[in-house]
Amino acid sequence: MEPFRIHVADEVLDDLQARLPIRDGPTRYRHRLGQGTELDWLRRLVSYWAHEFDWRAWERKLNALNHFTREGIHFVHQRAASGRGVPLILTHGWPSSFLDYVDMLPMLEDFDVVVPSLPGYGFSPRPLEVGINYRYVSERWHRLMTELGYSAMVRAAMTSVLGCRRSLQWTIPSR
Amino acid sequence: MGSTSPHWSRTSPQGGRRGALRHGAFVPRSEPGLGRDGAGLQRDPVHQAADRRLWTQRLPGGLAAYLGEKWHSWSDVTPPDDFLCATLTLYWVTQTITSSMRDYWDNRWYPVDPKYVGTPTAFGVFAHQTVPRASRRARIWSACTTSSAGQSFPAAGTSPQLRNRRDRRDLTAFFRDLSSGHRTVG
Repeated sequence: MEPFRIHVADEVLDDLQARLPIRDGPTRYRHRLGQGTELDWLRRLVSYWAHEFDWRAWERKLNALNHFTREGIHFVHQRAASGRGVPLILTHGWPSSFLDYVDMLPMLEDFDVVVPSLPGYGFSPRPLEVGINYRYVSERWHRLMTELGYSAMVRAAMTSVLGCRRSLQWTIPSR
Repeated sequence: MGSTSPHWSRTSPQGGRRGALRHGAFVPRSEPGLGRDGAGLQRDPVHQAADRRLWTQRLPGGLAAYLGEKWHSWSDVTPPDDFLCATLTLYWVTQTITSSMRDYWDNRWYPVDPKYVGTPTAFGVFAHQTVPRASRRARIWSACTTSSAGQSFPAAGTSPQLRNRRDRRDLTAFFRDLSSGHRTVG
């Protein structure tokens, strides 16, 4: 169990900044859902990203949490204020990240909360082999929670398309 | 789900039926039918993640366009810009959009056997989610909360504090019912 701290190198952020401007855009067709992102919205978002967004502020906010890595899995661990709460593991979906749950953590002080990054997301590299499916993730989650000292747990998942099906399948190995 | 019911095309792992990404060339648009019910993703050539890497990992604007389309399609409330940019930055600095998309390929070709779930289970139902399949797999316990307003992204609403309080309330209610032996549907 290795403590983990987020720090993105200056040159990475500088490179991002240099690539951000949208110099050309597709022709402005009359937009309708299903034809891709609306161009004006995209330009406004990217402009905010380039000129107002402060990643260093997010780093400070995120580093106030307890981050760890274990066998390639990055996770945030917040113990209950009482010292021992109901273990709760929160799983993000696609195209999301562990950031989805950051604002929720202060409201879950009754729980021992673990928020991992799925393999291949954020700070959890994806194994090179194929077949990294829900079963694989479920077993990794189970092992992680066991190593944290939790013999039984509650799992929660917010997913995008596959919805509840994924989270339900992940509950199968639970006891 | 109407005309955009789930559809899994039978293609080889190497090639897309639609041919939109032949020869490694990307098509910087969404496929027709990427729908509000999310089923459209299953028609998305997202499985050819290595090809999308060409633009989503070299152009942050391309990454924003691609994910922005998902955020719009799968949310009824556009998440705050600051949250979206933090998510985009995380994907960008870790260069993980391609590896994240492999979820769909791996679970398509290495599927997990569907089984009924014996573990006490609760699920929240939000707008733009494909719930019926999931509900059929949880017969033992279900604490089901339906929200007409919501999205697939838990902290992505314009009022995340309100949304998070609702999530915590539902979670607490589930444990209360579980410990008292009541089944809750409603």
